[in-house]
Amino acid sequence: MTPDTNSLQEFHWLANMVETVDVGLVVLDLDYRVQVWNGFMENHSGMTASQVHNQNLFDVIPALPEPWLRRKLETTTRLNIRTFTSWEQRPWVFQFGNPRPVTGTAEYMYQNMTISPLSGPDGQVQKLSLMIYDVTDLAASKQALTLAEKELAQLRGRS
Amino acid sequence: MSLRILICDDSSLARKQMARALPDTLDAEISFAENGRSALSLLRGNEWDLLFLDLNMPELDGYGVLEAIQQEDLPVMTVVVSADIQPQARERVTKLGALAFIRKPTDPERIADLLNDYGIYRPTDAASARLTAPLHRDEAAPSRPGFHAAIQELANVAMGQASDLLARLLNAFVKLPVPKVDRLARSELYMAIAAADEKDKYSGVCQGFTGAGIAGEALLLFSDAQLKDMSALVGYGSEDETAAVEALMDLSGMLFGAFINSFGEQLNLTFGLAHPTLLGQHQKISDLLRYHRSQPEELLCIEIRYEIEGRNVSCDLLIVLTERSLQHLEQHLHYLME
Repeated sequence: MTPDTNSLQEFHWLANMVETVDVGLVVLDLDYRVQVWNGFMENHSGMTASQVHNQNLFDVIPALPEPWLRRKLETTTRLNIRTFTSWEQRPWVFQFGNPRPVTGTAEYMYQNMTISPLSGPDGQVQKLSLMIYDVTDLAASKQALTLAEKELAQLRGRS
Repeated sequence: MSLRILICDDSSLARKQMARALPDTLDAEISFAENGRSALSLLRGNEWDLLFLDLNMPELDGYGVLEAIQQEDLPVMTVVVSADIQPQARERVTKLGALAFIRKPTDPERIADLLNDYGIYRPTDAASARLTAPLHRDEAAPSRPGFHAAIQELANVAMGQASDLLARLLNAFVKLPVPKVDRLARSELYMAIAAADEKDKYSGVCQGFTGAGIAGEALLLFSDAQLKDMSALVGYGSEDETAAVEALMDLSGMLFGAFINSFGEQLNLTFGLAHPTLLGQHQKISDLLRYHRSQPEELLCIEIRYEIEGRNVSCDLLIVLTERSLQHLEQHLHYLME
């Protein structure tokens, strides 16, 4: 096998992994046009990568919290640092259904998000990547725990 | 003289797919039977050249038909067309005199090759055949199959793929039922597990899947006694608690993966799978499903009970689709049902 076919194969595996990983992966250019939209995003949004390619993210998903997200994206670009958001500050960024629509307790998918600046060889930020983590189970159990603690405290107060 | 062909399958979609898989230019008269019993009475009453026979059917299954054909020495060549693709199923029908075994969904090329092998049809004759003898289809040709019937047949094929893996893993024969397809309210979900005894404790795994607007969840449920036996069968031992979890995760991964892949493939879709979740062990069924949200939503539920022959072990596989998925599903089914 020549080095060329090797790297081509490697690209194929990596692309396959990006497609099937259970994390939402989006790459935006600096005008917020969608460059990458992986299988997770396709499956949960119902929109295919070819439908959204090169479209403005806010046109594609009008339900996004636009001013809030723009600010995060701008900060990431300007400061060249990663930005994190938690389901506790905002339950979801993309409004997707619960990944367990039958046995799950929540209606929507709770999400953590990481925005990463992607730099070119010159160190300049060229693209932005969004990683969307499904934390529905974590959020549900934390909420159940909080509720139980509250009930317990009430019982203690009564006795 | 044209060929007399009988297609016997309980699914109208499968009968249709089978008839459609025959070469366009084949000079044949095609009749249909909905179960083994009516196939046999047709076989006894007339002369037939070729029988395409399903295995899993109510009334009288394919094995029963093959036995009767053998006993009564009925003059027909039988090709088994089945979703049950376990090696043992193939062996059994071959012993019972079947000429060939074709897996569902039927592939037109495979059928053409088969007919060619037995000298029944030559593609090269096609052009002249088309001129002289168009394909006859009798009046009993299946009408457009309903939504449930179509789902049932998709499930049937997917179930066959999954149980083939199960049979190989356990080195046993898996008895396949006809999948049950039902609409039911969220609150009735646990009742879908018809045979579940309220007193029995259950363990389960669930895994969400989604794609192209279709979303649902697969559930695998074992009673505790069954899980012990299954865990021993898979080779993890029956005493250890973690062994039971290992067995549950292995089996669910295999059954869900094979079922959902095959279900998607037939619709020309790829579904994304979320991480599987253990549904709490040793609980009553009603507790296992206690948390389902209370919205008045009607779900589509496909229920399959797998039984391992001679081992007294069974498990329930449930595939539950959300109400919102159904319109998308219908669109994707459209081309299959036409």
